[in-house]
Amino acid sequence: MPSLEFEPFFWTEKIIALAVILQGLELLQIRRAYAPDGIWVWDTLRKEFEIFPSVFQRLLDVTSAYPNFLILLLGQVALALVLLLTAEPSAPVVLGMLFTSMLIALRWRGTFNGGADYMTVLVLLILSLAGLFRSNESVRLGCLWYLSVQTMMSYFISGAVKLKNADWRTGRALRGFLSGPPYEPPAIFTAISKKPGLMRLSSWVIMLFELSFPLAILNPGLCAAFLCAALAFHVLNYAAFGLNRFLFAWGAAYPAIYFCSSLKVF
Amino acid sequence: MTSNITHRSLQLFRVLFPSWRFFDGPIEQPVLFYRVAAGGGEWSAWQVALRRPPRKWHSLFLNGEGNLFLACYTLLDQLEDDLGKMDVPDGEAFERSASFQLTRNLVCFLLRERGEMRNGCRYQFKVSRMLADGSPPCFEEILLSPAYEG
Repeated sequence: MPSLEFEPFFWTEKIIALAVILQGLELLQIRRAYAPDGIWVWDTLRKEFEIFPSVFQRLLDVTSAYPNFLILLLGQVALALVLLLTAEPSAPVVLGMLFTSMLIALRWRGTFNGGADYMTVLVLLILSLAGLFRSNESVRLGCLWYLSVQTMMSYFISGAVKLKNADWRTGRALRGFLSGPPYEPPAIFTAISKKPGLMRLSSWVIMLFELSFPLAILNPGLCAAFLCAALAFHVLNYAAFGLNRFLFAWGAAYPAIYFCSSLKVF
Repeated sequence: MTSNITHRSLQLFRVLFPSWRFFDGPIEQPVLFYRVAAGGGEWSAWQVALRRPPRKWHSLFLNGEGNLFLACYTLLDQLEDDLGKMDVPDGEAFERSASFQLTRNLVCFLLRERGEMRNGCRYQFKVSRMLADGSPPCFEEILLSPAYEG
């Protein structure tokens, strides 16, 4: 079995640490939105948690009320800094990031940013497990494979559901997403959304890219090409839809895919 | 009742159950509008409440305002979802729901940020679904709030 000292874990840890720091800073930027005179006011939200045991409600009262929630965010950023700056962080650091990520997601009624939150938690879950079994190479290898398969499936499933949708096959869906709320893309995207042929072509390029992504596992060269294309895809998604968090959350999983592709199992 | 609780719990813990079905939702999106009336005066015209913040190169890294804007739309999706789950329309019960109150908080927040929340003013909001392919845009009303004192 190849050594797992490298590298995939090292890079995944560093990239997810960066992602979590940026996510935390973003939430601190918009603290007025969850302050007592903001939108996501804890007094309003807490009734949704009355279905849970009182101990859990009390925990959430402590972590989610303002300004305690700011302390939770700062704590998470501090843990992420430790992960970013230390060579061999201990498992409790990653477990702490996982726990705080889940508390933060709960404060936003499940997720703040959908897919990026899913991927962040998935990566932290995998890193936590790998950290707890640091001396067991089989478990660590399994963790890398699980993360790789989930990441490949994220593209594949996203492509498959689009392919099933007639609006995607005709380009109507992409035109809709590029021409109004909730994304309200910059004028250049709105202008190109008025070209039906280009929308149909772009939709098929996106679907084919997403559906073919699992081929990345076949060899490292192909994998590098797919990962570069995926990075470009996420930058374009940011430019069009403002989805910046996906770039870093998914980027954290790429070292695992690259490593698994280099094992040449297939 | 039990299934509602189970559904709600799953919703709150959905970060543990990743869904990779991106851009699979309806193209038609709910849009929030509000109007205000200063101290006993006439109502203003309905205004689109959410305005996308400018996107700069560095917001690739830090995009708090952009993600807040998207989170507000997620709130509208949740509001519409909760409204759709009511077996019998009950305006008063729905007004007590977290989704409705958060949407009301959102409107108050925007009015305050834009300096439109003045003493003695009234405000009202509505959520409409923007129908695809409409030019000019066509809207179908989903929810109209009562008028509130500012």
